[in-house]
Amino acid sequence: MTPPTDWTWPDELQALARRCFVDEARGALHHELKNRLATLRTGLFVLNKRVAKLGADEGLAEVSSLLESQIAEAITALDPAAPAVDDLDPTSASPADVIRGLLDAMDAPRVLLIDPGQPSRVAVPAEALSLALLCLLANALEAGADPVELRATTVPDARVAIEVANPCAAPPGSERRWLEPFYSSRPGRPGLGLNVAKRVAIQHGGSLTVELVAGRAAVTLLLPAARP
Amino acid sequence: MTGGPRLLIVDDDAAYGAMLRLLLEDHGYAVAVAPTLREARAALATDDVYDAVLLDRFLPDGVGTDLIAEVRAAAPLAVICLASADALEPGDADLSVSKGSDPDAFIAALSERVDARRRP
Repeated sequence: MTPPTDWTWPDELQALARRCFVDEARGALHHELKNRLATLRTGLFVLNKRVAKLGADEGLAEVSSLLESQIAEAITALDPAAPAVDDLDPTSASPADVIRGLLDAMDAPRVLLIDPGQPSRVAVPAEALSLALLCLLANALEAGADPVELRATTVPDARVAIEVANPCAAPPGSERRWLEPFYSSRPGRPGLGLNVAKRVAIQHGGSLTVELVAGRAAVTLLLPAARP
Repeated sequence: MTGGPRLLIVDDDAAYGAMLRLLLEDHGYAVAVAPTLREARAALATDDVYDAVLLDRFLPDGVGTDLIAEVRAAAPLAVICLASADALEPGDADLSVSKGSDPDAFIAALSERVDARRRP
């Protein structure tokens, strides 16, 4: 399947998209570094306790303790990544309206919006929702979806599910890799689009999951419904 | 598993999970590790009743907080602890821990709650 090329990122979203991609990359690196340091600190803590219990080698205990304190300082020095989308107004938006706006701005790629009248609104600012949905659309379009099938439905617990079917054949277990930062099945792609969409979802109390349905990946963005 | 408190670590970072397991075993816990929500659900469905569950925030098949209600249903007395690379509020969990924070403080906070719930 050849990915369609007759669409572009809307101009009005490019600046925000750039900020979010940079922020996502920085956040992913920060997260990875913190996890590695946390692993080292925990391991050295265990080692220190066991060395102390053995009472075998004061030099070894000193080195191990010093390493642990250095790693603790490195962890403290890591600044939390500031998310770009936090700056946006905490308003609500209509998924159907946002998608229609995206389709207009993207020079009308072939997207099949199922149940366009439902649901009404989600508790996510329009700009952030645009970015998240754009990332999902881009992911499916670049994978060769034609048309992209997009379904928005209200689900229990006052939440809205937006599902996008991806045409990529995906072997069992591969869904775990889809949400790894920088992972892409297509060479040369940054592999951050789904992470940006996931970040937007989580920052507004939602989530993003990838499941395999009949050997194909189905991406679901779950967002809180706006209060009436 | 030993006779100590039973604890389930739900974390997809194998190295961190292994270190945490050693840390907790050194403090008397009987530890199981699940790298996904799916495997955590399978662990909760067994006869093992957990005294504590450590939930990583981001997992390959969802977010750790998605499991809180199921843990409460399967093990009502279990202490639920959220773990994340970033500091976060416990929310519906019992406590939260920032990965890489002082292990002594983490063990003390966890054990205090676990002991309180295990006490007849």
